[in-house]
Amino acid sequence: MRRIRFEPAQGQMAGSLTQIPAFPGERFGLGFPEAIGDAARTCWFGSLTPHWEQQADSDVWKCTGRKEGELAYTIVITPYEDMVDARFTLTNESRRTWSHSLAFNCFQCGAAASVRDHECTRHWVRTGGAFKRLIEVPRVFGPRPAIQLYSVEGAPLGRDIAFVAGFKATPDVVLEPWMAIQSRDGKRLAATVSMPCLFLFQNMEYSCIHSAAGFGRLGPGETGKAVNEVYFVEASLGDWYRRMKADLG
Amino acid sequence: MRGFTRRQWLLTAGAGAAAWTAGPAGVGAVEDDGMVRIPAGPFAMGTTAGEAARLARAYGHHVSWLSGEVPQRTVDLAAYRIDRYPVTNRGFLAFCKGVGYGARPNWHGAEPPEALLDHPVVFVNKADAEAYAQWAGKRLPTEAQWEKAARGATRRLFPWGDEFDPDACQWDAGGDVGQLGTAPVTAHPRGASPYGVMDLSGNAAEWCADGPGPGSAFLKGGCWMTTQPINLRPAARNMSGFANNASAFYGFRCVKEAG
Repeated sequence: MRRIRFEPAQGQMAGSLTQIPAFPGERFGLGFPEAIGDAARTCWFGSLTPHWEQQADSDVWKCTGRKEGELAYTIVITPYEDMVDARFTLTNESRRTWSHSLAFNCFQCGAAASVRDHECTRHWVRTGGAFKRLIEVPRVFGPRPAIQLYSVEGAPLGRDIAFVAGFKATPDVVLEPWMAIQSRDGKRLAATVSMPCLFLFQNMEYSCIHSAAGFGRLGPGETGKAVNEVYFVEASLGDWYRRMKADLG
Repeated sequence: MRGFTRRQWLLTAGAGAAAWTAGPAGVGAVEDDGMVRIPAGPFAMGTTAGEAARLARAYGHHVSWLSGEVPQRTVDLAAYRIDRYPVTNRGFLAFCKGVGYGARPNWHGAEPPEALLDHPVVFVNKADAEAYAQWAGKRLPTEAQWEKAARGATRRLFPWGDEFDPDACQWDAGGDVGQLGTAPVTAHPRGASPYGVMDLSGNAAEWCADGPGPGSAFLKGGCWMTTQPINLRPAARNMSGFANNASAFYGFRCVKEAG
């Protein structure tokens, strides 16, 4: 089976995914990362000019980005038949210790007509050992009502992370570190999961979902690692979940 | 919904149309400039906690998804006039030609496709909408003005009544593909509000002058991509977004002093 095609936007913190066997003719976007660095002082999309380079004789792309005196990062993106593996490193080049560090990775589904879900009725998450549609999970009407952030298992609560708390839209609920959108026909899933994960995010305006990778506490000169997997599968939620858990060990 | 029989609902839906064809003392009458006069007075804005709980159960939502529109409160407004229809591509084209404003991304070059002339203009952010309104000698409605124009003093759930009518607005009724886009603003005459204001639910969500926070603005009425009737209610607020964003489902209409 052929591989998904990843095409970077040269000089930008983004790329697109096409030729996806489970979603023929559809295009998805990756804002990888939409923001990165110190969770209290992130570098946002557009503030860096990363370089994307295709690795020899392969579909693999490597991205290097840097902000002088603040951070450096790399991403290696490897497309497979039904998933895309993104491996991140983040180095703290500042003189500050970062209590929390992150890659705020945007998985953009708004251009994919068979998937986009601006009302979150086909968004799925898991909490308390049960799958839930996102509309069944508490939300907070914040200053930007179209967005919502969620605390995740194994990470600090959102209210204790500067980046998350700033949006004032984090309900008192803890989810597993993934979010999936079921296709309109109910047969396919697009999903994102990161490890470690710092929090989840969704934006109804764009129908985008984020599993923000967390690199933990990083002192000056320290480097952290994280993984973000994006799935495009023709499978039930339960079957994909078991596969994803196995993939992430 | 609310125990209405089909017949009662038909009467409720019909009341909206009747009000604007034979409204008292100019109320709801369409004026020469295509605006509708909304009378001064109080109306019930938002949703009661009890109604929010009932709607959340009916549509499978956690009740917190309706928290932005609770509690219901009485808002007293001076009289004003509001566009009967959303601003169309035809109208926005006149503005663009008049002041040299930029074409929309879904147009063919400098002009909209012929087939879209009477569809609501989309791909407008709040600043685009305000620029048009200023050119037209109008302004954007506040959320309260928009909601009163849609619901009147009746507390109805939808502009046409309390029961959802799938033929009264441009929405995504489901299926594997869904709606393909906007419709002409006149396509759903059954969607008339108590004052005869049209096309308030569905088609293009509409920018308001105010918002829930810095940089954001209320977007009302749902849109052609909306799949859930609960999100097509005039009281709904969850779609409200970042005011700088323009999308394929954001449009607007304008208001003016009653004069």
